[in-house]
Amino acid sequence: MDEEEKEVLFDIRNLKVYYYTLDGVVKAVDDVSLKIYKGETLSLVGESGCGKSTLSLSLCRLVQRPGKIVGGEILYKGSEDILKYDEKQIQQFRGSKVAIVFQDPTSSLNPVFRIGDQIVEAITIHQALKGKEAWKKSYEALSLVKIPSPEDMAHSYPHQYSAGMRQRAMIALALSCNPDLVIADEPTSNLDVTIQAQILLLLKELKEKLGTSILLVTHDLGVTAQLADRVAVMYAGKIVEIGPVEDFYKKPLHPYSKALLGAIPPPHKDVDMLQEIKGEVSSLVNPPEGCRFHPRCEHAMDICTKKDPELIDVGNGRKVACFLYKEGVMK
Amino acid sequence: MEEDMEKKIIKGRSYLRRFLRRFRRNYLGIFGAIIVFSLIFMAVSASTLFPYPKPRLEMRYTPPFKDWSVPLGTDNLGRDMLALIFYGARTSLKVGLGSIVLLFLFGVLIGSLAGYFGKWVDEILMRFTDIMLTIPTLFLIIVFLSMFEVRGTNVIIFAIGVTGWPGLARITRSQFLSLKKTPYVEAVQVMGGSSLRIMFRHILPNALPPIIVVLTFQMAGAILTEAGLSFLGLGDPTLISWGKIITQGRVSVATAWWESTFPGIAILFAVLGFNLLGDAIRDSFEVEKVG
Amino acid sequence: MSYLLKVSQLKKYFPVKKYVFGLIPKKKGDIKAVDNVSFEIKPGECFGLVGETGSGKTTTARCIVLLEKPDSGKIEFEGQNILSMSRKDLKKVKRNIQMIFQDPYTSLNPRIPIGKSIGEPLELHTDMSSQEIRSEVVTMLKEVGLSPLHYYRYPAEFSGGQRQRISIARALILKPKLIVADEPVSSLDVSIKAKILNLMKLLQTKYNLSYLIISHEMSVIRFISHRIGVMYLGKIMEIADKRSLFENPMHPYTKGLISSIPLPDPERKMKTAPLKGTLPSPINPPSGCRFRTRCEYAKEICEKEVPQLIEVEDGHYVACHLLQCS
Repeated sequence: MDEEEKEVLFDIRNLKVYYYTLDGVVKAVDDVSLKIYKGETLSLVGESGCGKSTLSLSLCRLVQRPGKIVGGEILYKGSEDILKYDEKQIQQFRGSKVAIVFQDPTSSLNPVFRIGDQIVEAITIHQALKGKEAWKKSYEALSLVKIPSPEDMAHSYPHQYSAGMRQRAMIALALSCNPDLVIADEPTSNLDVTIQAQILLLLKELKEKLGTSILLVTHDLGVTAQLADRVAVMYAGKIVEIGPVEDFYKKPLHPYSKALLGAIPPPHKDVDMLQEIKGEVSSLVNPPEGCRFHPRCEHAMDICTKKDPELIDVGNGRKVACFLYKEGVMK
Repeated sequence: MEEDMEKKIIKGRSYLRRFLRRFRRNYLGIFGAIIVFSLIFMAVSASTLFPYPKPRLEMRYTPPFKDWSVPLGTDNLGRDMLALIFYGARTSLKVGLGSIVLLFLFGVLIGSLAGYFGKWVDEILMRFTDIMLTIPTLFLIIVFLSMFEVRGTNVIIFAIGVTGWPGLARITRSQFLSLKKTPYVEAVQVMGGSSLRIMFRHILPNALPPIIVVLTFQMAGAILTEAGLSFLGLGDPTLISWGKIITQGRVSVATAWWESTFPGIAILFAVLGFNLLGDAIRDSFEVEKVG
Repeated sequence: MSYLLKVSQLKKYFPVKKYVFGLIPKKKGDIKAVDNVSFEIKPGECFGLVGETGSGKTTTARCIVLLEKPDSGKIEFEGQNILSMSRKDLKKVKRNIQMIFQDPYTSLNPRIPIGKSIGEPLELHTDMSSQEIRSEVVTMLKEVGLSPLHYYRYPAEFSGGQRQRISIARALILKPKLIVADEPVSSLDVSIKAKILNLMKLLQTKYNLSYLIISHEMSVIRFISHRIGVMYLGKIMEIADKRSLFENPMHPYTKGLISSIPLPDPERKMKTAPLKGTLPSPINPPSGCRFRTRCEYAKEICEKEVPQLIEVEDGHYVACHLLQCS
């Protein structure tokens, strides 16, 4: 798991994404640095409003107004800063290098076009394929996601698909141009458990088969555990902890990560009461001074109210932003 | 401590204050409100500011801005145009307000009953509404008016009220149809709230924004209809109205443009004012969204 | 044995119409949302209904609070069938059955201050003065972890978790005997979910409430319920105590459902999908056992006969031919 060995696909440095609303400036992503390696599944975990979706959208510059990327850089394969791309370059970049699978497949597929048409459209935009060849490619994409008899199903409309099949079609659409990174934004949150299990296994299999990196954005720590290689926990616009998935679940470091893991009702054992995190998620307009989690933290110290903790390396590929830890030393 | 809290809870922010806070930001709405308030002022102060505009034949066709005792000039009978417009505002406002009260009663009642109870109630009321919609309104009003010997404003109000409600009923019905399935309405049903309570305490206030917009359009429409009827000679013969002044001025447009122009402008502003105000009220009524 | 609520042979079909020439309605079939469902809830017990989308769990709940009129069956509350009750008696029953809805954003009237919303049940069912109502509401606000200062605020000023607390306060203010909660936490965030679930559990013991909890999340149901019913396509497949259902699931569907939960433990990764395929259409459900199209043990008899819910162990009911033969 040595960091130098792996090829860095995306290098996000000091990224800042702000939303300029009537109530003030919402610092959705505030000075975040993150590396995404080739072939890995990185899971971005956090509660709603923590900035995880905004961060993932800025990877293909899809942040909508009143949001704006105000600082930092996103280096693609170590050289090009995608924030400096012009409109044409970014359009070529989206879809061919990065593709997104959204939470709700029903509204992400155009109901008046056949599934095949939509995949063919994506293929013809990004690849020098046309007509029959493009259609052949779309059948391949559909059979890749295990849609039975893809030749027939490609000619069906989204409403003729079930919810699980639609999500499969969305994944096929995302993979049709062999992107380097697939952003999966809550890919299974709208699905039933049995279908969710099917989709998770499919994603796992595809990742191994194609070597595509996946950025999994989710609030579900169960899904993360099943699919991710590394976990990044976000709180109030900042990353508070990053680390390999096994270590993270065995021994979460940041108090917020610990609290989050304690708050989920365990599916495999009975408990009397769940752990609670005191207070509410802090506002992104006026975040608390110092560490943003300190008003809710059990271990808050004096320094936490004054200084903002940096993300420090504690070894083993783990990083944490908390004054309880010291550089290179794991407690 | 406890007592302090008890006291504080009584002082909450009222809905009106929230409404006004939002309304203040809406400049077009404020413009509309200014027009509507000046209309009301004109209607109320007409008889105090101006004695009844008597014909003074020696002053016929005085052009505007010449003689400052009659700033807007005089008509073919030598009456002060400004006074005529003030008196005309009275008629317009009376017809406008009167007819929307009637419209609101008919339209909202029929629409809410149909939307809330559905099934055969809906079927009967809506087919009746459809029939009303197929009859040309102006035609119906004219027939209606010609049935009466004396065509007072009350008859005109009644005629507009009786014929204009179908559009409003449809809007109200569609609002009730969608709102009666919302969880907060179902919550009251589970609690055991009566139909009347659900309809008028829980659904109607939430259905109001689009109804208000339609009502202000109807208000503007009523003012126009009254002007049109007066123009056709079907208005109240004893009252001054903007429509009637325009009809009179029609024959002398080439020589005395002001006689039909000023009441025309008055109608334009009145209609504009009510529409802007309606839009602004609707926007300020919207529930604030969080997140 | 006295039951607080006893549902027997409950049926609710939704007709599906087809329009001939787009005008004349013609019945095409029925969505068999709830088909012969029976279960009972004891006083002070929390009964959970789980199932996937389209299993009919929400329709069952809506029938119990009379938001839907069942086609047939009986719903007995304290021994009296509420489906054949006079209006006056019904009002007394309604006082004792309250509901918590899924979406905290739409279950409160946006134009009424929350204090008034919470006090509305008191207005309807008691002759308390407005002063008394207000002090009662203030007590209840504190009970669910809100401040009396919130009394005159509007729902838009609250977060999702706070709104769900408001809904709970409104459901609780009459001190009802049964609270029906339809997916009470599924739209909430992890940390807020924990708080609301803890609160619901606390209030249950405090007021000796009975709950009927509807959820698609097995872990939520496991945390809060005492007994659990598993629904599939309008039928109950298995009813058992929490422990025996999770530790010894008998119906193949329950087994599949439990092993479909993504465990928050990277060392226990799912290897194969526990259940194949998707829910069949509820208009033409499979003959015999409705689960047979997705069941790996399906036999001939499953196609022909509808399995009955039979007590296999003490208090553990299963509707499956596999278990009934042996």
